[in-house]
Amino acid sequence: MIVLVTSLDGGVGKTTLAAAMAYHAAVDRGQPALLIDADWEKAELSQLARAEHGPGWLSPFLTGEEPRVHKMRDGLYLVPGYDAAEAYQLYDFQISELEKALEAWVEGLPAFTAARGLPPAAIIDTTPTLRLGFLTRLRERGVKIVFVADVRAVSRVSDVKAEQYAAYFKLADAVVVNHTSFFARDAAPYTIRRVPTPKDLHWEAVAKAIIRNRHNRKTVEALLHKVFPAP
Amino acid sequence: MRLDIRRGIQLLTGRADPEAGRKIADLDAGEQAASAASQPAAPQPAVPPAPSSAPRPAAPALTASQADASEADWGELLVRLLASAPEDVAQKLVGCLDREVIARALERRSDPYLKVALLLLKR
Repeated sequence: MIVLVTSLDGGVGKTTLAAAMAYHAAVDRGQPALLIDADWEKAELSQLARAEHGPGWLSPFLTGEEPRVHKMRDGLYLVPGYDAAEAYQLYDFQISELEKALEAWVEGLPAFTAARGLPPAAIIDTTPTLRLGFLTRLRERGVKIVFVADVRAVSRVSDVKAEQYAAYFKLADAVVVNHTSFFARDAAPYTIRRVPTPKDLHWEAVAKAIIRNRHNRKTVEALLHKVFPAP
Repeated sequence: MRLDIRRGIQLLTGRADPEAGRKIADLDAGEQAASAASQPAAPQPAVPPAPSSAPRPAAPALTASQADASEADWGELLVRLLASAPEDVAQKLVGCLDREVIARALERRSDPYLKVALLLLKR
């Protein structure tokens, strides 16, 4: 079971939602999970999790090194993405190369987790605006797509933007609208309300802050039920 | 910069299977061939027939006038590429192409046999 969290725009809360989903699955439902930080632009989840620098998800394809899996807490692990973020800055990559590496992860994940005693269920945090063709291929491999947006998704910025959103909505298994205004609450199937930013920007503090809100907790529960059901 | 997809997937799965990840690693080949064939303005060199151990029917020959007139015709180039490629490569390319694109390429020729083929394709 693999869930991929993606978006059209940056800064909409993909990483926060991925962390909240993983936390709720592992801690509240006792459902272990492996997070993969495939946000090759920022590797923010690796930073929030205070993962050590070292070989991450791209290293098997880049240097032939085994990725160093970071234990976030019992039942929750992370394959960091520093290597990909650094490579993205340093080398002249075609996006298709990174997409292929991520697709190879989807193919190789069952064997990888089984051989290392890791949870077989994974949540992948990604970079914005992954190409539709790539997402379609992943869906064909059984990956559930969670598309995250903010109020821009329901504000009709322009016809072009509306068409772009429509294309991603069509592909997604679930659409989550983050930081919803009162107006948007009824327009989206899953909504996350704004919560006070925790002082400690650690993944667990962020996830707890989201889930502490009763509405958000219900959203995350419903979302997990749909795309990450307990085996 | 290119990544070593096969080596990576062999490391992830722990299997030294030479076929592992081949389909993913070869994605570009299909996309590039399709992309090259669908570029109308770019001059395309004639595609030489690739060696293949399996016998295959010869590609339908084009007359000189047809070839000249269609030099920049992406549909013609696509069909010629598919017809001259070994069958397994052609199958792979067809699998990578959108059905609509192939249909549009075939629609460019008024031919009763092609019309029947199109009907089958659109069924």
